[in-house]
Amino acid sequence: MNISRQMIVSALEAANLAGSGPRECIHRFLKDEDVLLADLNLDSLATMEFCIYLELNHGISIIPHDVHQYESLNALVNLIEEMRS
Amino acid sequence: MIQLYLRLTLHCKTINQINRVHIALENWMTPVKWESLYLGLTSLEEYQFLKVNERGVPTSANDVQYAQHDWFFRMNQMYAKAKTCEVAQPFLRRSQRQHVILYTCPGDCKHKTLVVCFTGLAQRMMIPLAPFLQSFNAELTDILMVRYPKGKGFRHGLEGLSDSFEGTIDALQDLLSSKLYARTVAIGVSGGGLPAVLCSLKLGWDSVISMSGNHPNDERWQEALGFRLAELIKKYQKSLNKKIPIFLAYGWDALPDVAAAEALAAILPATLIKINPKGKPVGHVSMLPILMSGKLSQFLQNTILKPTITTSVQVSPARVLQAYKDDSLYSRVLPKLTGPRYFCIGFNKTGTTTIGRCFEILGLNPIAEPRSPHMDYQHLSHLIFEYGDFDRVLDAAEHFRAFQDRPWNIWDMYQRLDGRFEGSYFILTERNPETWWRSVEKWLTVSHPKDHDKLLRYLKHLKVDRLEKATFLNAYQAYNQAVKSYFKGRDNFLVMNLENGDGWDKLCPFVGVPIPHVNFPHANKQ
Repeated sequence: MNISRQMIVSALEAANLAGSGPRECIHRFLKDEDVLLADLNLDSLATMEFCIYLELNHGISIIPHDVHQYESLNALVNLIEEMRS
Repeated sequence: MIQLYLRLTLHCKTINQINRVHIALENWMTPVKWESLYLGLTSLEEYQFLKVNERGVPTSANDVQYAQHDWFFRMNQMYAKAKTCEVAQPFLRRSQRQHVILYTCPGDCKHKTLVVCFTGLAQRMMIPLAPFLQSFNAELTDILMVRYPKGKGFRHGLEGLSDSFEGTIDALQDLLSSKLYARTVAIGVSGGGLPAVLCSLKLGWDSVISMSGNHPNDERWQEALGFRLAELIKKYQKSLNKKIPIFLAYGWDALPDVAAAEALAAILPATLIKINPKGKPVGHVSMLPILMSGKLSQFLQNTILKPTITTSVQVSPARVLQAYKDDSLYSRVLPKLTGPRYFCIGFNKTGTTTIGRCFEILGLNPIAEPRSPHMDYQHLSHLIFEYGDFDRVLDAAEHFRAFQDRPWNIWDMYQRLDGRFEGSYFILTERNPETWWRSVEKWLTVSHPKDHDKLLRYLKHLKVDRLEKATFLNAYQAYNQAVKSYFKGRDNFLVMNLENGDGWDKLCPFVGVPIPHVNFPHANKQ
């Protein structure tokens, strides 16, 4: 798995996503499938935690408002790839 | 608090940095601390922009200031909704163990209720701590917060208490043994829902509510325990020598939470509470809309804090309706009516829905039926099935003109309705027993093959123990016969058989209205 995908998985874990649905989504994402953000049930707190993790641990500055501009996790991967290049 | 906030935010240059501080504060600040922070900070000249009644933030504000304004606005809004009195509830924080914190107002706990709270993965009760605590009366309650151990879950125990779940329950019991509370109740949210229920069963607490709790078949529990969670629930339930009120709340649109609550209710006698704030999205965070409707305190009062226990049966859950039906609650929206009522008391699948549509066309409103937005027919039926509480259901009927389906056709309800609502009209819908059985069987096995709860309700309604033609038919025919015998010779009683062509010409003269210029409806034709 590429490092951007790994970052997102770690950030999602830090976001404390509750319920079996999001857990299954992360499993699918780990298998290189794309996942819609809508399927992750990211509430405002979880979105904040997600962004905080990326910024504090990887220096990737995305703000909660911007996260929801993206439809899927693959789109976020592309964004992170761009920011890192 | 002001000094602490200024120190924590001094080096915050990004939105994410400030959000991190705010989340930590949300999970730590008691009502007194929050009020002290808000009032103190907004009294400073440079923080005037945080006042929520100011229109927006200055155009010169940076991103961090915008985030601060948003946070203060949101926090203040939530806190105001939780505030049921002028003063901040004076809870003090007393750490008990690594994951266990007591919020208490010093005083004799002999007259207090202890509320044991099991948090979810986010280590809080779905909402910030200050508005949560503010929803309780500190003079009457202590709050014991048991925080979800990140990465492990309650199923692997709690550090500092035990490394197993069952050991943790025993350790909690030891921890509480020196504190003699009048009552102990529990709330669990999300991943804390099941532990709250399990602890309550094992330790015989007085009441419990799980909000958006996990599914009892969650395989992670099985992995941790080595056997199915349902077995543990049944074991605890069996060893319990009293019946405790169990409430399971969920957002109407959070399908996994709905399934989880229904699955747990199939194992345990529990009251299901659907959180539906006028159709607005709720999702997993089901406590938030209750808070934002300004009714969290009332909701807690009506569920875990004040259920009345009689010698063996819990009788108060109808109060729950007052909390979760929000503004559409029948007792607030619909006035009590006088005059005759119109009851369709035929068994399900005999044309009851059609009669409901007839009532609608004839203007006999409001109608108490499954599709009514003003009542929860399953909850009312549950009151009868589980608690034999007919009085609450009869009270609900005060607000409606016409009635069909459950709970109005359960057992001898028709006699109770006849006693309460003198001069009312009763319609028994019936159909050929063979076609009725085919319709019921199809409904339960083809239309809803996996809906165990639906089947259970039928079994309870007919007082039978299995889905079997002869058993069902006997019960169905016995009910119809009992109704006919009861009303024999009465002119306020009508039998209708829609299969045989009964329609407006029979119904309208009976209820005393002209025949309308529309075709007789046929709903749910099978």
